[in-house]
Amino acid sequence: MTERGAEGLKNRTPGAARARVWREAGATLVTLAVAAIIEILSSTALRVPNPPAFLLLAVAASAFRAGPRAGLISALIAWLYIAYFFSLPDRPFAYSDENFRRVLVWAFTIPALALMVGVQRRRLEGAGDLRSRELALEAQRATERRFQALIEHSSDAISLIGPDGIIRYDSPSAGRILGYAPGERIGQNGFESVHPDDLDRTGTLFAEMLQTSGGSVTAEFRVRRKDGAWRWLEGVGTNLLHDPSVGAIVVNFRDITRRREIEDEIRRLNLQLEQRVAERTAELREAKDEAERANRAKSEFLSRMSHELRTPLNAILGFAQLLEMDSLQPEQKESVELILKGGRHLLALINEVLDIARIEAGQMSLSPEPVHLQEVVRESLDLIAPLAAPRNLTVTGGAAVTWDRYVLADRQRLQQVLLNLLSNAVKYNRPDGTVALSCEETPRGRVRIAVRDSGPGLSAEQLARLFVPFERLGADTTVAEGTGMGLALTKGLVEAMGGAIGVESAPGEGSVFWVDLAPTDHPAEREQPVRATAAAPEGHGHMVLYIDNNPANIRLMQRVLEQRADIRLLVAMHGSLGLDLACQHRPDLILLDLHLPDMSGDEVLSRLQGDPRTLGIPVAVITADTRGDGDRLLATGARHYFTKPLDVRQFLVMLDRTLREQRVEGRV
Amino acid sequence: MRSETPVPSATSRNGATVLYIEDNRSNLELVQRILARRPEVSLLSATHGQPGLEMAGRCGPNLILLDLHLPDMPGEEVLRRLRETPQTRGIPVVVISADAIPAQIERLLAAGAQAYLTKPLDVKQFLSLLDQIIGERML
Repeated sequence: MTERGAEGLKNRTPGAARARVWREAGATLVTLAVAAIIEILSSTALRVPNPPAFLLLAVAASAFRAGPRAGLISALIAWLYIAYFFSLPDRPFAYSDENFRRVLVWAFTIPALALMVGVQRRRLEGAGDLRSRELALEAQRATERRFQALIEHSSDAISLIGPDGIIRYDSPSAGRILGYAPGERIGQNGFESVHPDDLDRTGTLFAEMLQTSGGSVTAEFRVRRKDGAWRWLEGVGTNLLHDPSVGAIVVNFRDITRRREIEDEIRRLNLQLEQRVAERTAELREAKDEAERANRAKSEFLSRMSHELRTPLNAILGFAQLLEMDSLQPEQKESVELILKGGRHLLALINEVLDIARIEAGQMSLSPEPVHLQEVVRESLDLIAPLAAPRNLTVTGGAAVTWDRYVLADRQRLQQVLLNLLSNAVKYNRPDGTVALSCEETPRGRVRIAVRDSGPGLSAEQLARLFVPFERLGADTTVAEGTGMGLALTKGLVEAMGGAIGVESAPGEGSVFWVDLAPTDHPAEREQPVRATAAAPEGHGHMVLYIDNNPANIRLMQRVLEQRADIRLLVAMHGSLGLDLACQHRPDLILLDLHLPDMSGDEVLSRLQGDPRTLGIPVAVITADTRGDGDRLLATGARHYFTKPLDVRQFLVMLDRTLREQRVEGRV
Repeated sequence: MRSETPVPSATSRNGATVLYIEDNRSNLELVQRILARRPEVSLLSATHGQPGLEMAGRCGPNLILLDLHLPDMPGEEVLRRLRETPQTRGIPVVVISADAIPAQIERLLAAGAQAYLTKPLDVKQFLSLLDQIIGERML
């Protein structure tokens, strides 16, 4: 049905008319073909006895196929053929009234039927046409309803505005957003309700849009609702003035008030956050400055206190020492000894407080170097033995005294640490108890020195307060002496040397204090793994003169040169003595410190250069003064220049090279 | 109260002279008493830096003992001037101070002090240092 309807609609076009003619021609030809078939059959045995009946059928078919015109033409053809058929001599037409009437009936019936069928057919076609037109209209209406629904139920709103800004159409949601009844705004000027602050901007954009046909702009702006509240809108305007079916500015807009509020809130929070960060930063900076000020004040206070306390102690200890030197009555002697003891205790306290303060302030200066552990251990055990003897304690070092390991530490401070741990182990011990020092490598590759005592042990509560200054555990119940600073200082020192300290203890089981330090290589072996020179006969050995008055430096040098068995070290603590020794022994190398008690190192150097006996001897200056005098000294005749702390490796390289050169020269 | 007391018998022809620049009486007295054990050494003293410098230039002592907290100028300044002046630059200076800050000790040794002793004085150490320096001078 719909196909035909569509055909009916198409009839109006020229193409459709042509198709209709072709169809009519076709239908007519069918009738002709039927007549031709009858004619052909009439000469055979299958002769059609009554051709008009068949022709009627053909005419009816062609009228049905192609309408009344084709039906009538077909009827004419049928007529002509019937006339021809009966006019032939071999098909005698037995004339009778009866036959004539029969022919006449056929003659009328055929066109009548053609007309009837054709007209009926045309009517049917017309009906199909109408039906399809109705359907198309219906489809159009549905589409419109769909679009209407889309517009009406959209949360986005659509308005049509004239070039003058007058509102011509509002979609229902436009009214909803702005609080108007449907259509209420029509006729108003859309710009009247725009926020004054946004008016210029939106006006300019609107004007720009009017310039370009089809152009579109987007803007966010505020519009007053009917109830006076402001709403933020996001609008897209499109210029469709040129489109005859629209002829307006189409404005598509939505309410973005909530979004703007959130954005504003975010902006506000951000600003607040930034402000708070800035405030907090300022506060922190102030707190840091304050802490630094306080720290400086503390350091200053401590050094002043130290000074103020030492000054009166000078009189107390000084005069007491003088008294001690005099011949005194035993009672007096005891009194003086007590004064000295008390004074020295006070001095130790001051020193320890100052050390702790320095560690806390990061001002503790340490000189880490490879320290031969067994030496420090042995010395510490020797020093502690006199303390342990009166209590009949057994102090053992076990394998530690022969363990050939080096650790990276400040030698003097490491000894201080060990002495502190050992003296604690002695103090907090039972009579006839034991103190055992041991060394081992930890699983993490550190060197652990542990001191175990057989004392009463420590409770969990005591362990917690152990490293806190002035916490003298059980000091009231025992005769233990000490400043109360020892472990706090020890911890500070160990940590300043990059180590760790800890304790394991339980009441009744004694305590183990341990210190972990970083291991390091043998300082000399790194340079000279094969000590072949050790076998050198003494007569061919070298002589090195060291002019320095600091015992610690001398000791260090002695230890360094122990690695070179062929070297004999001469030491002079004064410049004048050094010069004498240099003249007498003509050493292979002179090591010269710049701070000597009697003359400056410069002077020693110039005198060595001035004397023909010592002129050729290479001189290496070793000084703690790092102000960069090196160049000047090298210019005045020093061969080498080293600063303290001495880089042992570098020093040994210089030593070996210089001595090699001297030997060659000597032979020449 | 400035004083330039030539303490006990200042000049002994064969003896050595030590100048002590110190404003604290008890410290001064202590050193006096210690030096009493070395009869061949005579002690001069000054309580202020300026008179101390003058005395050093005039008398040419064998040794100068220097305190760092002086009423009129810092001891460090006194040391610097002693080193600058040709007449005094050869005289060994031993600082005796209650300041035991390593950095300061280093600084003064670098500035030319022969030794730095901290208060309270270790009497034996002081005497051995004195003997060493004076002994050399005398030889």
